[in-house]
Amino acid sequence: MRPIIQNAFLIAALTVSVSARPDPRAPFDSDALRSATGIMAFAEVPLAAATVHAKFRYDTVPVAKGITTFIEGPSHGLVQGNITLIVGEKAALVIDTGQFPAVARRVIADMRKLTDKPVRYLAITHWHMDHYMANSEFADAWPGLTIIAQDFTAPMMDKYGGRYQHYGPKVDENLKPMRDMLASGRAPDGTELTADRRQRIETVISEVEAAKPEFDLMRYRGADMTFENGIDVDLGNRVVKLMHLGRGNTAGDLVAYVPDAHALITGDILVHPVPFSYGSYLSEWSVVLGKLADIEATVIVPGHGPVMHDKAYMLQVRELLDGVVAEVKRVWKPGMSADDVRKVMDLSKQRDAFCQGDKSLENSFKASIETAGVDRVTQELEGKMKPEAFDENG
Amino acid sequence: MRTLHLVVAGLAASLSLAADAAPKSWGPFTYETIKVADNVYAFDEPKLNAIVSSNIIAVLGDKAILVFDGGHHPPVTRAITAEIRKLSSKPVKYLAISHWHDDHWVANAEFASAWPAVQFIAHPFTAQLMETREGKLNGAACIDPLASQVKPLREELASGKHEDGTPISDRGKAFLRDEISGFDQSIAECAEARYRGVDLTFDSELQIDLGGRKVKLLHLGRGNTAGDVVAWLPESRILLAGDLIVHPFPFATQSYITEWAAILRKLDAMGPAIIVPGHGPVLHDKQYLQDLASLFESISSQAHAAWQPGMSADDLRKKVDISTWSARFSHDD
Repeated sequence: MRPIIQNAFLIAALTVSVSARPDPRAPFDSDALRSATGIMAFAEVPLAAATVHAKFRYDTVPVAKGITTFIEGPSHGLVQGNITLIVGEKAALVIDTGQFPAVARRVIADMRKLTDKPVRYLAITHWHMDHYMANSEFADAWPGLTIIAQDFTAPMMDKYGGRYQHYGPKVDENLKPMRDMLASGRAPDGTELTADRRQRIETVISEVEAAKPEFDLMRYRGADMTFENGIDVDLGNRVVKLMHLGRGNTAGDLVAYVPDAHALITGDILVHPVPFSYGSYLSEWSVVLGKLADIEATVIVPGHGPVMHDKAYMLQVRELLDGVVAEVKRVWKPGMSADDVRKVMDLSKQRDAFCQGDKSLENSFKASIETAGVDRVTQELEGKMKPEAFDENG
Repeated sequence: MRTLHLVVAGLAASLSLAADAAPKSWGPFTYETIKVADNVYAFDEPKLNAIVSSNIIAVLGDKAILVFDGGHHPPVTRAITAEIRKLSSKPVKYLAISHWHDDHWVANAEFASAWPAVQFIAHPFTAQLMETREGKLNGAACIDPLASQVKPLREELASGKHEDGTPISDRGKAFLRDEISGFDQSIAECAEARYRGVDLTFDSELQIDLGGRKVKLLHLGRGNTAGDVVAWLPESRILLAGDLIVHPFPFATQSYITEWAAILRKLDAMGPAIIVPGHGPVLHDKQYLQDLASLFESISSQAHAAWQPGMSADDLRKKVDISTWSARFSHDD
């Protein structure tokens, strides 16, 4: 089974630490998660994959001629966004850099084997840290490259990037509850840890531990150039269109389109297998997906997950967002909180269509869609969207 | 008046031949360095030549340099790249092109030679029209049009008479000689010009961080051309206007007068403290900007009021009275 990663930022481990339930696959308590640590991220850790310690593995996937994506391998603790290389006759452009310097260095070495063209541009899809914390590695490898982001994204990167590079000590804080569980042999609610659960916790701890030195290696590097709607970059007989099509996953989403290859790189507007909708704008996101659907694309690279060769998943996500927005609209009345909405809403149809009964997917779905997503749609209806923030949904 | 088909030559030619008066000496192509503000330098033509070059402006940041317009004459621009190296050890990383007229970018390749990673930035309309000039910047394609333009000037000078048979004054002869020398230089430069196109295009706004200094590139609509870009330095309120503002006379061939006026009002509202025009001296107040806006508004409103279906531009010209503006801009020169 493919491990489930629904972590746009940091720690998957929290699912294990705070969902103190006898059945490790039971849906976790999202309230507990939200109050846990100020980190907005978590995932279910499937049993079958738990024996593989997947420290920073990635797959190198050819997307089209001169386009290659580096996709994270199985991960249980810390994720990073897909990294895509686009090569022209004069220069190359990279989309997103992930968050781990050590991974970026290996990716850079692989890129050098793929092309002798200099990477002159780095486009950042959005401000979530797993997409740009390794920028400095690229800037060191290709001095003089220009880092490009949308107007909204650049100051958000500035705000959180510097903070995040000193995150190492916080990782220990976040691991403490899990270490306590291992030491006592019991979950916080007193239930005894099963061998399976113990193993899952150990795996997560070991992965997060392995990533810890990365935080000391991180050096924040922000954007050099920002735009409102779009920039076309000519790489030499190949144009890359960097576009902002409206608010969606964040208010500054950048997508890249390579017309000659019919290739579309979406950032976290598409995350597989479950969309990541923390701090998002679900109604507008659906509109953006409609615009993407109109683009002539035969190959699609999501922000996380595998390269896609049709628009089926894109349309599925759009249908999901439309369904969630419609359902919240149906039940919401002035004065109702998101929790009130959750008590009466019915997203079982969307959940079933999306998760096909897979418990892990359902856990991710519950956290990302039923919790964070419904929060955001409720805010939309209230006319009071909270500003996007790293801590907000933590 | 002669019509010079080469856009770049048009401005100076119209100024020079119209008056046949100004006792100026023309050429050789050169520049003067003007400190606009801390870390902002303009390389201006000290006077208008027969073959003009735009002002070239360097904005120096802690990490990188942005240059606004690359000029027309490769040897002059080459000398300016050396000047910039003396001013800063940082690389020229960005070169923004205000619009597609040759005198603003033909020498761009000099910047690419000096700083190979420099990125050329323009509005898509500008990039597209620049591409149509590829292959016409050097060799016979460059020389022939210039040669055909200078030929009648030589003949006129040799004959000592104007086309209408009246004798040319000494001042007029000196004038012609300067002009011919400008064409000769320009023809010589045809061997050096190399096309370098645009890397990055944007349609409304682009913000660049040079390290301790931000530059906004803005396309505010159609004005002098359909792809005009200005640079705005928000911290120091400096406006690099390109040919939306040309001193002492606006260059309005193939332009969009009504929309241009609206853009000038937008620029006025931004509150620039210093304006560097596309040609001419650095301006330290908004008077000229406001005069230009009023002039265009006056032309536009008079023309709209007077025009009726079937009227030609010549018919319309008779109905539009800008005599007060003419006097104001020419200072009765």
